[in-house]
Amino acid sequence: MLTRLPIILLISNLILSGCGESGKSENSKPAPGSAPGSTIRPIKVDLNVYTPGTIPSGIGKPVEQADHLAHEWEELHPGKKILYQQVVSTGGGEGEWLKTQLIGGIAPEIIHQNAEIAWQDVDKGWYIPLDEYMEKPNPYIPGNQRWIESFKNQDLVNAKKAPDGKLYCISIDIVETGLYYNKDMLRSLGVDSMPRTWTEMETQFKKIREQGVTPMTTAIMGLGSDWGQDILFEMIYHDILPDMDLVPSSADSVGYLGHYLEPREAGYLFTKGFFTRRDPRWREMNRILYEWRQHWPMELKNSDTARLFLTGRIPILWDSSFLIRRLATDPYLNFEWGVAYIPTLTTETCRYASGTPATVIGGAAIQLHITNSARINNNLEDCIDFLMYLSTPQAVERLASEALIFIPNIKGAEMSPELKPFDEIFQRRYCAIKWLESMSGQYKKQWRRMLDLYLNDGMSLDEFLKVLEDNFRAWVEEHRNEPGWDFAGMDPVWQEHKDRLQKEIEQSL
Amino acid sequence: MIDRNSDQPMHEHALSPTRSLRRRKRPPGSPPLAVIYALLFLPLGFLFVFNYIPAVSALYHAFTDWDVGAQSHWVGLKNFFELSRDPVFLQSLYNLLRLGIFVLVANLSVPFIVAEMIFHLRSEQWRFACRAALVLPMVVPGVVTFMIWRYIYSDAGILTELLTFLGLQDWVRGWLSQPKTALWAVACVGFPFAYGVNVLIYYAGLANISSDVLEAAEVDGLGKVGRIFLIHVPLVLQQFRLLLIMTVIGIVNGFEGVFILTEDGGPGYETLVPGLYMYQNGFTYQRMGYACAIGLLMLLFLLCFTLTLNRYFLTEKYQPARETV
Repeated sequence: MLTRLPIILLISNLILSGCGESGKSENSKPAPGSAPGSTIRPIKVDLNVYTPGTIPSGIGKPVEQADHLAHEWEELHPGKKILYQQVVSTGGGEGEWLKTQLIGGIAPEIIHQNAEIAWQDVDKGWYIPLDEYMEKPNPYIPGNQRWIESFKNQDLVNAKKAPDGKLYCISIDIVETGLYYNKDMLRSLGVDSMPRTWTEMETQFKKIREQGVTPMTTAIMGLGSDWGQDILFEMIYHDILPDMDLVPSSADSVGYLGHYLEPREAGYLFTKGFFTRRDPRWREMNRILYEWRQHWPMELKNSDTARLFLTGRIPILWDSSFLIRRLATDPYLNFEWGVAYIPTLTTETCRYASGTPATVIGGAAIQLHITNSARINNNLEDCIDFLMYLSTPQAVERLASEALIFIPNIKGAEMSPELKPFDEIFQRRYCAIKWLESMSGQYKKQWRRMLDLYLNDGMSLDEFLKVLEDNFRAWVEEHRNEPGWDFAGMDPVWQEHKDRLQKEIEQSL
Repeated sequence: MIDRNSDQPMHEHALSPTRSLRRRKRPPGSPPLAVIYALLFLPLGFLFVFNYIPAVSALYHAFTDWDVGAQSHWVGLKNFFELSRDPVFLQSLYNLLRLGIFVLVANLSVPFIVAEMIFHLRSEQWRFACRAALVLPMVVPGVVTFMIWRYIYSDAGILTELLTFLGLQDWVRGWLSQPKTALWAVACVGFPFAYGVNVLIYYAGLANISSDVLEAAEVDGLGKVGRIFLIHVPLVLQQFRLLLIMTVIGIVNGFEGVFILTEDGGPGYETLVPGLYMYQNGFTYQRMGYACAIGLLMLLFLLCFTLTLNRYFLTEKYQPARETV
């Protein structure tokens, strides 16, 4: 009998554990006020950097405000439970892990996801449209009539509407980029102030390089090249953008988007010769980008570019407001620093330069979506209610102040003084297009790959433009017959602007 | 190679284990058969659900057009025809070939040399210490190793610092960013390639060589080098074959190194391998049918390779008894 005892115990254990609640933890115990013995299915929430336990920018104590907010909400709603769960981020940036969860209907009910990535899957019913809720009052904000009105920059929120015209996320805060600079190091290199024009920058950077120092680095994984082309594009095309904007932005987002080119507009313009080897501005944009890259570190795959800046190896870092927390709280930082922005491109560098200030490329930071899990688990209304609770001025201010990386986008929520420079930068115009976010799937990847190759001397400018053209063509061919693209609808506006626009292309022939 | 307690050649015992088990009496006090089967059912069930069903599903979906989350449509051999003309896939095969040759040579030769050196040490304590030293790095997860190498290659990394210190600034470059160096930078991860497992497997083979054989070789006047090539190498072919199969499977299936070092197989497609391309098609481009087709091709290649190796690369131990007796 003794020899059988371990086997009997093992089997009993397996049976008992199989009968028990899976994944039972402290977080899933009955909430106060709930019926004894009742099982609560918690609402799973991912708030990205605000998720309790996260250490934004890798410094300081883990954030916990979201936990307090969840407890407060639970007390207001006896029997309801919030369970935070961090969404796994994969290197590709496309949310591969999340997609598998969404397919299975087991993703957290509330998640952060870049809206442009979510747009690719809205037709699959993975995300819940929030439009009707935006028109309802937020009961946690006294006097609020429509939820959308509680947002400081409503156009920015509406700009996240998917191509199907529906809004699938709310943007409770704003992120912007800037040039962090090490004043002490620049001074020692003979540079007293940050450049205001592109030409000044080139001169300064050459001077710095002559002293064996790399002048500038950019945030993670070659993002600088993506950002760079978006900013350069606007400065080079600025003068003809009103004509190129064949489909005006909708009234509820025009204040933010201005003459923003939608993917279908870019596709249409491509069929007319823009963004090809025939387009002289396009060539200039990519030429300048390559020249700029020569001032960046050799290893663009280096994911710890901030370290190069923080350790005083490189004097300028182009990064997002995310880094403020580190700079503001790092006790070991031993240099004076400031925040500036990309200099203005002038005709000294490029004959097409408008001379207007560089636009911003940031925007919505945490973009909260409700997933199909809410429908499957029958807790959609609770999810909406929790989102409304999270988007009150007090809640957002607490989240943002603690994390110290993003600017609140809710009326009445105060911002930390350290973020003021980014708020000032954000007052500029938004860029005319986010190129890689406009492209879908493999076309976006192809572009980024080839850009990477081109900037690392893997191909010439002509070869790069040819590859881009092929990629563009394939992308347009795939989408041009989609109802949302409606090339025929853009024809009349093109005819109106044709004379001015065609001249741009023909002058290069 | 005759079992002295039996009239049967040894290999027949080896080839018919079930027959001997069936005849064996169950020892007293062993648990009831029902319990054993019940316990066996659990792992087999998991194996079936998590290994076999997905594999069969992938086999079917290789012939479909399947956007993740949507309905799949049967397209026959379309995915395979497309693959045969897909320049990216062909480039990934080319990369795999170059990477594979380098890794095979490094992973199979260096550990053998190291095993030989340890085998020739006179002191048993030193042999043990060397083996232990080689095994210790195995506790470091592979992902961490790749992360460390990524740092080594960075602008502030050891390699750059070392070259600068030696006055070789001109040699410094973006190892993972430059098209000319990226693939070789990936291949060189793990330098000096003295992988603990491989060394131990070779060492086990060397340690198993009968002292009679070694003494006979010495008596016959074979020098150290002669002994290595004429005695050691032929007698560790079994280990070599095992390592060859394991390494090839690892090379063909693996993409985690490339994924961590260059993320997308860049710059351009310079470090893309079929495994990563399969992953990207499945989860980034959401072309799961196409990804399954790549997976099926990889499976077929590995199956053919292993079968061919088993068929034509037989070592003495597995030769029919009449030839070896």
